[in-house]
Amino acid sequence: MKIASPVLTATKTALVLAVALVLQVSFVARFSLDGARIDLLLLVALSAAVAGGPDKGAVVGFAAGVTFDLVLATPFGLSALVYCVAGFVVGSFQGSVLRVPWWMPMASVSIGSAAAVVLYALAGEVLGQSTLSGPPLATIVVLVAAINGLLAPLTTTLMRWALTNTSVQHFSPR
Amino acid sequence: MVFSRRTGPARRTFVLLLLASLTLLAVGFDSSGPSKSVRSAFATVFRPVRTAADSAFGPVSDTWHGATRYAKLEKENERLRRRLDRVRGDQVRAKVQAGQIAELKKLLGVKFLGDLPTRTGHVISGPLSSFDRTVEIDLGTGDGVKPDMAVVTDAGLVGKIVRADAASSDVALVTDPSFEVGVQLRRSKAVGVAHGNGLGKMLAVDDGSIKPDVKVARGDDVTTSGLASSAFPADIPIGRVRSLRRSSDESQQVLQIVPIADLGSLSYVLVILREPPS
Repeated sequence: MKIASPVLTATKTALVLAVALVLQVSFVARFSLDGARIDLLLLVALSAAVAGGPDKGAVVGFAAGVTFDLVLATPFGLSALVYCVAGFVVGSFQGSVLRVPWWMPMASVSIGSAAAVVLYALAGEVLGQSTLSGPPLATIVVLVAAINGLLAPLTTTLMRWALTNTSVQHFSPR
Repeated sequence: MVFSRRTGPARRTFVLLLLASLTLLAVGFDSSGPSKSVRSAFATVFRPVRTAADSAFGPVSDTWHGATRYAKLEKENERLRRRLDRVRGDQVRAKVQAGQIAELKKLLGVKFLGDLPTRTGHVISGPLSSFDRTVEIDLGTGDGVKPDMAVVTDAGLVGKIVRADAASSDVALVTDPSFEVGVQLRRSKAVGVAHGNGLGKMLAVDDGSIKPDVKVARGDDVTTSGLASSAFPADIPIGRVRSLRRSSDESQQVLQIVPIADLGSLSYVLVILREPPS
């Protein structure tokens, strides 16, 4: 039986988020397709939802959003709100499926990414950010959904490692 | 129900986090609120890590961009060579005219950019996400930069500072849909307000200020108006009128202005260190 240590999982998750943020601002953001850019923080949030369920999806989504909000010029809390919702919904959906086929995590992350991008654009528009006037929304949705879906197996494995404590293990006799 | 038993405690966590997010939005929506201090502090702490990562990843992205844009760069190089030849010719004529202009400036008291204090900044990053429309420069409050100061290139207006911390600032570009600037048509002297429509798109003047009887033509130069309430100094070039049409009720002319500064490939910019009127 594995015993989860909140401090250890929080530390590992924080490390993943820090690496994702550095990669996002220093590497990924340099590449764009018609103004659309990959979103690694959203990928981490949804991967946590697939790996850990709705609870962890919402918590990591919130943390990932706040982390991204620290470097963006958009309203503080907007990413936190959207990623938290996306993490919870994807985690709930994933948890409701009894037999998970191999492609399900990829599909969940991909569809969840597309929905999160649309939600972000709509919420931004409501807050007066003119988010629908920037790069074409369809391009952003397709790019983020495709790349996040492709990277999902890798990041889901990473988030399973981050959200599970493997340092203390007790094996019960069968 | 699909979500019933497994998501019970999760739902409580979710609701709490949702409330926390909405609180952050409410508290931090105003860019001058507490979120400004938090972002500034984080930028200061994060800068060394980011600088190191930029140095590490910069060559990778440069190589990629070089490989994928080689043909385009070759064409651009040829075009720039032709332009350089023209500029060399213009330079000789400009030297003669420079003396005349200096005298005219004294006579007319026109406030040109040359009279304003500026700092040169390097663009250190473009937008960080699909919905981010700012660029970051390496000048901050330590260099005298403050929010709402105008940012230009040698060609003309680029945007304005929207956030400044100790050593870096975010610049909202003129094409940002939330960007507004008082403009003047140089030929007719008519003034109005232009707003952005997104990167790569033209600015529009559709506030009803350009009446049907105002003489406007394609190619007319547009500069900042510099009116008392304007955040920008007067006479900074913004662009040229690309198209014009009458509004459906015939009450105004709607202008489309193509920005004069090349916003797609900014490297260095000038911040005009003049505090806008409050």
